[in-house]
Formats: sequence, C-alpha cells, structure tokens
Amino acid sequence: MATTSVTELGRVLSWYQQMWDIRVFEETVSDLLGQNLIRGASHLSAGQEAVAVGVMAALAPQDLITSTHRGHGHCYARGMVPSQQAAKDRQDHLNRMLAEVCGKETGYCRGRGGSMHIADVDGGNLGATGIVGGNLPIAVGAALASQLLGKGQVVVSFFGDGAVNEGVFHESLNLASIWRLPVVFVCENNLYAMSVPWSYASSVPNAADRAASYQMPGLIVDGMDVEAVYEAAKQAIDRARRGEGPSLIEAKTYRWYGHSRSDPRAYRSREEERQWKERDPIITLRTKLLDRGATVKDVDQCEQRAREALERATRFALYESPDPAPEDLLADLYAPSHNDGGLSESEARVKAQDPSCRQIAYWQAINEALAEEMTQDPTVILMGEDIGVYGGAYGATRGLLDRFGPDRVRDTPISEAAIAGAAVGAAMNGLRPVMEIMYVDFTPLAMDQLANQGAKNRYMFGGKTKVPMVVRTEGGAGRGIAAQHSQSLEALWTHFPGLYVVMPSTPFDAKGLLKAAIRDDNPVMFIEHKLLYGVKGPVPEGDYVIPLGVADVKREGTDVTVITYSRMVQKSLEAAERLQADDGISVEVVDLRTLKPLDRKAIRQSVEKTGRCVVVSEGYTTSGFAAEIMATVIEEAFFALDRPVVRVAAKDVPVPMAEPLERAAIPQVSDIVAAIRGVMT
Amino acid sequence: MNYKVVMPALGETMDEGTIVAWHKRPGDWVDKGDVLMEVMTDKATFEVEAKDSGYLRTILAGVDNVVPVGEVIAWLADTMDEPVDEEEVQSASSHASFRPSEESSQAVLASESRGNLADARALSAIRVSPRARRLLNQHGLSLEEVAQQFSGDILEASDVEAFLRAREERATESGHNVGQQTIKVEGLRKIIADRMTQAAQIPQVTLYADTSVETLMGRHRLLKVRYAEITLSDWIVKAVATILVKRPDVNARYEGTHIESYQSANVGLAVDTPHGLMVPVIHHAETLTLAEIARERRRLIELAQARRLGSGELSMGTFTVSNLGNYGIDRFDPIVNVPEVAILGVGRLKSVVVLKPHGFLVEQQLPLSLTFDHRALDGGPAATFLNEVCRLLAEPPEDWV
Repeated sequence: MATTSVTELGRVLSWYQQMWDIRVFEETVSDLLGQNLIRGASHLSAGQEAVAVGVMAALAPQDLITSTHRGHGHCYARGMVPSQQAAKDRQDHLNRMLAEVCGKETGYCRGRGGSMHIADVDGGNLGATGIVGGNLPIAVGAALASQLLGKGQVVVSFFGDGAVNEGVFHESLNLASIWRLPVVFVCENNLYAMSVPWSYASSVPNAADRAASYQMPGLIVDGMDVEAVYEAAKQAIDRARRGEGPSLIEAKTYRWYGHSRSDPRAYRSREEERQWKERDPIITLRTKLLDRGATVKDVDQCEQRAREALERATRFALYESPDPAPEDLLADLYAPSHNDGGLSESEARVKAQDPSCRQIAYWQAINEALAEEMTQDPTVILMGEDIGVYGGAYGATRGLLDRFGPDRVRDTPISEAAIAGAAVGAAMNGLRPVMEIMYVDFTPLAMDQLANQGAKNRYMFGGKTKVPMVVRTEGGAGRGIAAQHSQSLEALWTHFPGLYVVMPSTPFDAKGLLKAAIRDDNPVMFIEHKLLYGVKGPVPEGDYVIPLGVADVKREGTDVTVITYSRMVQKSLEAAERLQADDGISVEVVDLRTLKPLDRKAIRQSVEKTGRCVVVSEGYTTSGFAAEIMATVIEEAFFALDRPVVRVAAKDVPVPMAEPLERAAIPQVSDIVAAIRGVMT
Repeated sequence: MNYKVVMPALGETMDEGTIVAWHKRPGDWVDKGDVLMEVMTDKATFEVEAKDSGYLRTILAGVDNVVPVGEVIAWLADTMDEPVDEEEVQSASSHASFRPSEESSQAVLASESRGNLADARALSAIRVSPRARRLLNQHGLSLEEVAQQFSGDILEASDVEAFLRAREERATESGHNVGQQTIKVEGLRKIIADRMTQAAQIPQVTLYADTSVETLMGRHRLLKVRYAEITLSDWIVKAVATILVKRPDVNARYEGTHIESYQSANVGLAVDTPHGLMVPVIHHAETLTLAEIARERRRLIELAQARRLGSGELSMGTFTVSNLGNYGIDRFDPIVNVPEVAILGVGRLKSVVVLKPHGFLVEQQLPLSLTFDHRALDGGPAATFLNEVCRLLAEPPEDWV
C-alpha cells in the first residue's frame, strides 16, 4: 500500500473541494433523474470520488485520460488539472458537464453524447464509453502516438472491474506491455459488474493480479483514500513518463448508488453498503484535514461552495441552455474532406491512358500508395499482423519495414480488437494509422473498436475530435479457403454511421483511393480483394488521389446498367463483352469504388440513361450491399426504370471449400450474363 | 362475388357505344358511383359510373371498341384473387359483336403481324414500366391508345417511343404542306360526321320567310330589364313550341317505317362548343315561360361547354332550332337533325324598309329558314307551319311576359 507522505495542506484541501464537487454533481444528477428532467442513463460515481481526484492530481497538464460509463468524476477531475494555458474555470466546467448530461447544446459534446459519452478532448479527456472495456485499447493507441510523436504524454485509462474480464483488457495490457507504452491502467473495482460480484466473476482475488501476465506492476490501493490513490498513481505515471512502460492500479472502491437509476441493488446487502459508507472518502479526508490544522470553516465551506456551484450549473443547464437543433442532426458526423495536393484523378488518368504508362499489379499500387504517404507524412504508421518481415499476408506491405523501420511498420500480436482500438486512440492523438486486418472475415473481432468507438467518437463527442485512420483488409472468394476466409462483409461496415468504405477494383483506383483514404480525417474501411492483388493495370508514377465517394463508369453502354464494385467489376466487364459480342447488348458498367459515401448521382445518371439495372455484388444476398444499391436505384431513378432492378449476389451460404461449390456460391460471369439477358427480354 | 359491367343504354336510340376511355385500370378498387369509363354514343360522350363496388378485374372491351348495349365489357369482383366467371368472360371476349372502331381497324391492319393485340385481350395483361409510364404522362398518352399497337406483356419506354414515332410518321405522310395539321376523326367529331352524312341522304327542302319583330323587340327590351338572361332565341323557342304542340305533323320523328308524332314540344338547340356541335333539348318547352326557357337554355349551354350533358338532356328532341344570327349570318339552309322532321334556321336581325298603308317604314325583321324531311312532310303543311311561327313572332301574346 502506498503511504501518505503529503503535500501541503492547501493542495489536499483543493482535492477535498473537488470530491465535494463530484459528490454534489452526482446528487444533483440523481435528483434531476428522479424528476425526469434528465433522460437516458446516468451512472453515478458517488463513493468513488477519491479515485478520480487522486489519479488526476498526479497528472501533468499534457496527459490524457480515457473514461467509462461512470465517468462524471473523471471528467470533472481531469478538468481541474492545472493546464498550461489558463486554469479551467470551475463553474464553467460544471456548467458544461451538467449541460451535457442534460443533452444541451452548451454541453461538452453539444448534447450528442450525454452522460455515457461525456468527453473533453481538448481538455485531455478522450471520452467516456458505454462499452465496458471499450476504451482500454484506445488509451494504448493514444500512448503509442505520444511515444512516437515524442509528446511526453502519459495516458491513464479508467475502467471497472467488469472490464477486467473482457478480452480487450488482455489484448490491451499485452500490447502496451510489449511496446512499453506510457499508459496507466486504473481499475476502479467497485466490486460489482452491474450485479455480478467480482468475487464470483474473477479467478483471482485482485484485478491487479492480472498484471503478472503482462509483466507490469500491479498495484492495489485503497480507493477510498485520495492520498493513497495519488501516491500510487504518481508512481505509475512517473514510471510511464520515464519510458519504463505501463502499470495496472486497482483501486478498491464502492459506488453509493446502484448501477443506474433502475437498479434496486438486490445483489448487495444494506449492511455492506453501511460499512462502506462509514469509509466515505470525503468524511475520511475531512477528519484528516481537521487533524492537520484546517479550520472547520475552511473544510465546511467546501461543501457549501459545491452546492452553490451545482445550483448555478443546474440553472445554466436546464434554463439557460438551448436544446440542440434537429437541423444540426448530421453536423460533425464526418470530418470535412480536404485535398492535400497531388495530381487530380483526371490528370492521372490521362497519364494512365498513355500506352507507355507502366503496368503494375494491384498489390504494388497499394504498396506504392503506402510508401508515398509514409514518406510525405511522418504521422502515417502501419500496424497489423504479419505486415513487417512477412510483408503482409498478400504481400502488400513488403519492403516497407526496411524502408521505414519497426516504429512505423509495426507487427502486432494477433489482437484484432487491440489493433483497431489502438489505431483509434492513435488517430485521436495525432497519428494517421493504417492498420491491417488480414481477412475481412476477422474484422468482426474488432467490431466494437471500429463500429462503436472509431466510427462514433467524433459524433458522440460533439465534433471535438477526429479519427483519421484506415483499416486495410481484404475479402472475397476464389481461393478455396472456405467459409472464414472468403467472405465479402462490406455490408457490415457500411451500416455504421461515421465510417467510410472503399473497395477498389483496379491498380489505378487502388493507389489513388488509398492515398485519399489515408489523407481523409475519417475512419475508412479499405477492403481489397484477394484475387485482385496480382491483377496488373496502368498506374502513373507519383502522387495522385481519387476522391472518396466518386464512382467510375468502367464501360459505357446504352441498354443496361450494371452497378458493381471490387472484383465483380472485372466479372461484369467480361459479361458485358460477351453480351456485346453474342447478343449485341450494350452494357454500361458502373464501378462504385466507394460504397460510403455512395455516389448516388452516378447511379441515377446511368439508370436514367439505360432504364435497366442489374446489381452485382460478391456479398451475401440477404441484407447485402446489393440491396442498398437497389434501394438507391428505386429512390433515385424509379421512373427511369423499364424493368425491376435485379441483383446478382453471393448465395446465403457459408462459402464452401470445394471448387464447384465455391463457384456456385458466388456470382460468375454466366450468372451476370443471364441476369442481364433477363432484363433485356 | 363478381359483378358484370355492361354497356349501358344511354339514350333511347342507342344500340351500341364506343369505349372512349377507361378511368380505372385493372386491379384498381372501384367504388360504386366512381366514374369507370367514358362511352361515346351517337349523341355524346358519357361518363359511366360503376353500379357496384369491387376490384376491376378484367376489361373485355378496350378503348375504341364498339360494344352493343347490354354486352359485358368488364368484370368487378370483391377480391383480387377470386375467379371471375370464366364462361362469361370467354363468351364475351370472343363475341363477334365487339369490333374495333374504324381507326383501330386500320391499326389492326397495320400491325397484324404482331399478333395478339391489346384490343383483343384484357389490358390487365400489360404491365407498364415506370419509365414508360413517365413517358406516357409526358406526352399525354393513355395506356389504352398505346396498347392498341402493342403486342408484348411489358410496355417499356421504347414501345411508347415507337408509338410516338409511328404517330408522327402517319401525320407526316398525310400532311403535304408544312404546317398542315392532322386531326383524327373520332369522338364527337365522328358522331357529327356520321349524323350529318346520314342527314344529307334524306330528301329535304328549305323554305324561307322573314318576319317582323318590331313588337317583339319592343317587349323584349322591356323584359330584359327584369330578366337580363333572356335573348331572342328564347322568344323563338317559345314561339316554335307554341305552334309545335298544335302541329303534330311537324312535331314528329321519322322512324323509317312509321312517323311518331308528339304532343309535347321538346326543342333542341344547336350549340357550338369547343368540342363540336351539340344539341341539348329543352323539354316541354310549351309549358315554360320565357324566363324559364332562358334559364334552361343557359344551363344546357353551360353543360354542353363543359361536356357534361347527360343522356336525358340530349334525348327525345322533336324539333331543332339553329340560330346563327349572332355569328353575323344573314340566312342559311339548316340540315334536318334526324330523325326529327324539321329544323328552323335563324339568321341575323335586319332592318328593312317596308311599304305600309301609311308609307314607307323601317322595320326589324328576322330571317327564318325551315328545312323539313320531305318523306314525312309536304311543302304545304311545312309552309303553313313556318307562316304560323312568323305570325306569332310578329305579334307575340302579352301573356308570354
């Protein structure tokens, strides 16, 4: 246990004030919830104030935290860390916090996040998450950015005892440990993961015991003693700042309220609650302060000041703050696009059409895009499984480790969630990570990190952050590697607001789109196709970008439109050739290239021209992206249609290994030809 | 349950009707009283309302089909999936009495090689693509008219375009000069053409007489102060009706084997409308006052202009008045409105100098021409009739006012 070698009285008195502020804040929220003046869920941290205040007291101004669904205390205390600029105005801080909890435009996240997603990115708080354990790898990524960019930040990640049993906890601690990252993991063990007791849920008595697996210090501290917490945090933070790697602190604590307002606390006894309340961190500290010579007046006015401040904050939040305007619903969902130079697509295309233009393979185009972006932007880093010495499962990163070194071309453990979460955290803290997930079939392992955190953080946090990252992965069938290595799962990823999805079909597109994706300030899912890596095509040398969200007519035609993307572009072009030769049917092939943002105008223009539309996708039929395209055709061009829209998509069956079955499962040229003939007769 | 829709009898002389338009499509729900279709008779075009409610399941007679009164032309049913009476459907659709009207007969000839034509089958068999539908709307075309020249199952934009091209070609072929416009003889125009041709074949004679309307015009001016809507035509109708009830030989219809005389004067008025000539009838005109005649005349004219005359308003005329005086016409020979026996033409009011016992006077005179069917009426009786009308107009009874 840490000892209390303290620190002058005034400082501790300020902690006492902070703890009162948090306590009254939580009481106020509880009161407003009871009156239905706040909607939604608020998880209150009363009882746990000493952890937040003690840890924050050990932070330097530049340091970062990640928070949890029980995050009011973290947010408040992080805001009270003296900053390099002017100290945050305490009243303003409370106002904006309470306004956020009340869903007001004046809140920290402009009412987009509320209690569960309260964040103050500029103030060093990378935000609260509603997913247990969701922020652990994000802290790891933020620490990685700090390390690589020499920012000198330590990142403190708060989480509860429930998170310790999440896989992502283990992935994150491991990754932080092997990379010796400046991160401090703080487990607020309040003994219950909602209702399930720690004693039941864990195989070891202490959360800190788990540190042994990851060869980092595991400190246990009395979470009801702010000075003890401070001492432990200081040790861990100093260690991290010295470059000695991460630590795990377990603060034993207790929450006064239930998990949320609908929790009757049936899983714990009133007697147990009474015992913990006798150790109320505020009362404990009060006694200490009086013992050390603080006057009763000094001490008691802290509570009084807290109550006055919260009264003002309540007035501000409820009566002086506007509601967010519905017309701003979509504001800040995506960071604005920008063009950072390079040749335009049309200029590059002219060069590519020159017969003397070199022909390179799809993988080389990707490799070249990565190398060029890494050269011109030192914040671009790569991470993923087997991307270093191995050069990537399909060779797209070969040679880059030698060129850019292991700091920027980072092999990772097989920890998809941690890779993705770390990319999100790194992106929020100044890097432009390009992470790789070997197969799109594995992306669901990282789904929480990408879909719940990466895609949403900007929006949930009121547009106060951006997540400029690229997830490179590949999909598709055709290699006989069966059901878990052959899927086309783009529909999963187009579903989440906040993500872009790009699926290039040619080397030319792959290079220009990957460069655009890396430069974009939004998370981009960049899905390659395993059977395209060897396909060659003209790619001009040097820098050019293809803007996201612009489709390309790969073949002009007048009779029927085929809308497709990725490898099915090739198959559709083959089908078009055959139909031209055999039937005299003129097929227009529209390559979407970017599924999100979707080029609705290109879809409309082509279907307006032909009046017939066949959609081709390698994804599963049911709820596949083909269905989205069909819906778009109906919305954009219903009255241009001469026939119902038809789709050719993969059968709703796990992709089988045997070749005849695999061929039957995914669209073949003959299927496309038949579908087109179907709408022509 | 199924309900027949039959070709209604829309007038006592109607034997058959031509479907001009369907207001509902197969598959549409039809409420009793909804306008189901438009039928053109020898008199006018009528909007025909549904007598039952149900889904319009099958249309057996397409646009331009000529259907005898009482024949089944469509089926309504309570549901979309219950069978309609197949036997009836088949016997109806194979009925020899259904024949395409003249224009579509030509279409049949022109496109015979295309096989089963829309007029010979239910329109419900044709599905129209959204793109084709947009094109139909843009060009103000009905599915029915395009379907006449279409043999497929799905009507696409290219089919509508082909229809438009063909129509344009036909127009170009028939037009020799730049600016020449081709108007199809159909609808009301067709009725008028047929009726006039029919009328021109009967032996008819026109008699002329001018009558003084000095007295009448004096009264008329006074009367107009109170009844602004009264015109000279109303005086004429009143006078004609008054004489007609005394002259059953003129107040009659020539029905080929017999002549039917009437005791009541149902006076038709030739009305010029944007759609063509129409002849609504003022029934029992002899019983009406001038003001009543004026009101009825105005009502009928408004309906005629709006093409909303009902069959009652167009039927059972016994005599017709055609007044072209307002158009600046001095005098003309009207053609008998068959099967009526006689028609009175009215020319422009004129001022003439006449010799009276006291000397020359300027007098307002109205030129009248009576055309009569010489099969039904001879010159003498016709002349006395015209003379009686003239006298009545010259000295109208005071109690008319």
